[in-house]
Amino acid sequence: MRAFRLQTRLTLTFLLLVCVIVAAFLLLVLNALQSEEQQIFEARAASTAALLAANIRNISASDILFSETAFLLKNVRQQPQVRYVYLYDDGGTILADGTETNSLFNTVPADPIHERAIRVERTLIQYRDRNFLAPGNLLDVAQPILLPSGELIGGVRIGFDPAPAQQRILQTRKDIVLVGVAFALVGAALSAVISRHLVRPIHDLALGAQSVASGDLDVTIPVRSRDELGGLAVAFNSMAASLRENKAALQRHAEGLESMIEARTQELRSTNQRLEEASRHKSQFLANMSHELRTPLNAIIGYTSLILGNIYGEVPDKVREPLDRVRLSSRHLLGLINDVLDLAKIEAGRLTLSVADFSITQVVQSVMTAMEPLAAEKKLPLKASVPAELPAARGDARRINQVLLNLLGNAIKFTDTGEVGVRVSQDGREFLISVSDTGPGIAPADQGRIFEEFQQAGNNDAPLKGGTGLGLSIAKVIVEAHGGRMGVESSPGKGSTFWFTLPIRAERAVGAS
Amino acid sequence: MSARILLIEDQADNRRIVRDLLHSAGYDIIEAVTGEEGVTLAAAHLPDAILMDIQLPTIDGYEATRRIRANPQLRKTPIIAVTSYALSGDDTKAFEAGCTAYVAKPFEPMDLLAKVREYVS
Repeated sequence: MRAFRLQTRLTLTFLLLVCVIVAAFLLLVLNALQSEEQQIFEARAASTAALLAANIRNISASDILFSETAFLLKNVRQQPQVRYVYLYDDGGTILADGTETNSLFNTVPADPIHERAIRVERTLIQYRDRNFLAPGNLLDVAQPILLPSGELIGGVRIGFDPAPAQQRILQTRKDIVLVGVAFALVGAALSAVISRHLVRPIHDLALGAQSVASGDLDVTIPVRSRDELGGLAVAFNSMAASLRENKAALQRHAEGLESMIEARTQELRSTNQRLEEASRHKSQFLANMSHELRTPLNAIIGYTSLILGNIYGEVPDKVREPLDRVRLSSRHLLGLINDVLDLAKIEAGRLTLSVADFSITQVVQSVMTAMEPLAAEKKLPLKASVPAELPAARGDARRINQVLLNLLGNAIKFTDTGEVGVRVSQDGREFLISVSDTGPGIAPADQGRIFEEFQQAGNNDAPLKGGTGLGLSIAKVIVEAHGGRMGVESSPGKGSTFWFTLPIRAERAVGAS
Repeated sequence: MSARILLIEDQADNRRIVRDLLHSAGYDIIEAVTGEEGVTLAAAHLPDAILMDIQLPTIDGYEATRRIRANPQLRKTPIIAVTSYALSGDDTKAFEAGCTAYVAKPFEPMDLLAKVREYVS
């Protein structure tokens, strides 16, 4: 965790600081103690040498008395720190060394200090090793002896052993290291405590921010102090609180919206239901109505056909003609009623296809047969061009029959001279079926309109030609329900070609309404 | 003896048209007004063919056909369904119910006669 790393870093930093400060302080103390010890040692050495020199000078006004000086030297020699002592004359030759044997008598020591000492009129102090603490170090003190007249008569030389002082310094050093370690340990503990204390509110804040970030707004951070971190915690808590409030407000708003949408949806649904019901009622009414209308009409057509078939006896010729008109008009009326019913079904979205395999060739043949009398009446040649090898089609044969009947019926109806033809071809995966006539043609402006309900090109013709104007729009819906397209190519005076495509295998109705 | 045809049709005019047509062609006609009556008469008379209107009150032509077919003696009797033009899918339903052939209303009397002659000599 980041907060713990921060705490570690803080602890280490504090610890380092404590260690540096303690070490610096202890080093200073150690230095001071050491130099004081050294100074005391040197002062003692110098005073010992000065005292000895003064004593020797006092007892010898111009010459040195050996028995006296030997005693003095011996006294000094017996001091525990003194390694050696000797008295030399102005030529540097040793006169006495404080021992019983006086073994150095009349020798000249061959060391550089000695050579300097016999020429200089002040005290010389010099260590064998510059490092005071070096083992076996020795302090040489050369004290010249001057008569009151200023005559240099020689000097004393004493070698002091600094071992006890060294010992004391080393002991102090050990103590100080121990003290330092103790300080460092205490410092480490204190650092840990302090940094933990410092990091804890930051840790709290980090945890709080994390849970807010992850969406849990129910966070309250303990306020542990009244400093900036405490202030931050207070600010964080009030921030979380206002976030909670905002979230709750948003939620209330969303719930309000939801219930509003729910209410609206409910409203729409019930309106829709009412509309659907009304539409269903209308379609049902139309279906019932057309059934009711067709029943007597079927009777009229049936009886007329029977009469015309001489079932009830031979029909006189002058009655036969008007009876034929009765039959034609009845059939026309039936066609209109059927159109209205189809339209009602289309509007109700209930135009269903009865899909099965069928032969386009057979459909074309049956339509040609049905239309032959109508064409013959107007002396119009009826031509069909159907390829010999066509694959079996799949769709609603009766509905395709109806479409073709409508197109061919229109073509014959609007054509007075020339001819009417049906052409079938296969183009990839669809059939292209077209009905051409040599009629008056359709103006471009009318070409889109004629597929709309209740529209016929040139309204003046409508009463003359009959028809509801529903046939084409129904035909188009049927073709589109099969997944095909329908259109017309025409120019006024040059006839029209109505065409439609039909997928060879239409599996089901596509967007029937 | 001339062939007997059972006509099941609820509309009086339609019954009369078919009766007059078939009489003139020399057939004997038995008439039923409802589906139940048709089923009863079919079992009683064992006609040579049955003309079945589909839109009938109480039990419709499909159900009547199924009941007639349930009688082993009438398993092979031709049943010609007569249905309204506009109701797409009626033909398939008629064949599924057990009808032999199918004529759409309104029919040309001569077409109906031709269909009957196909099944009854």
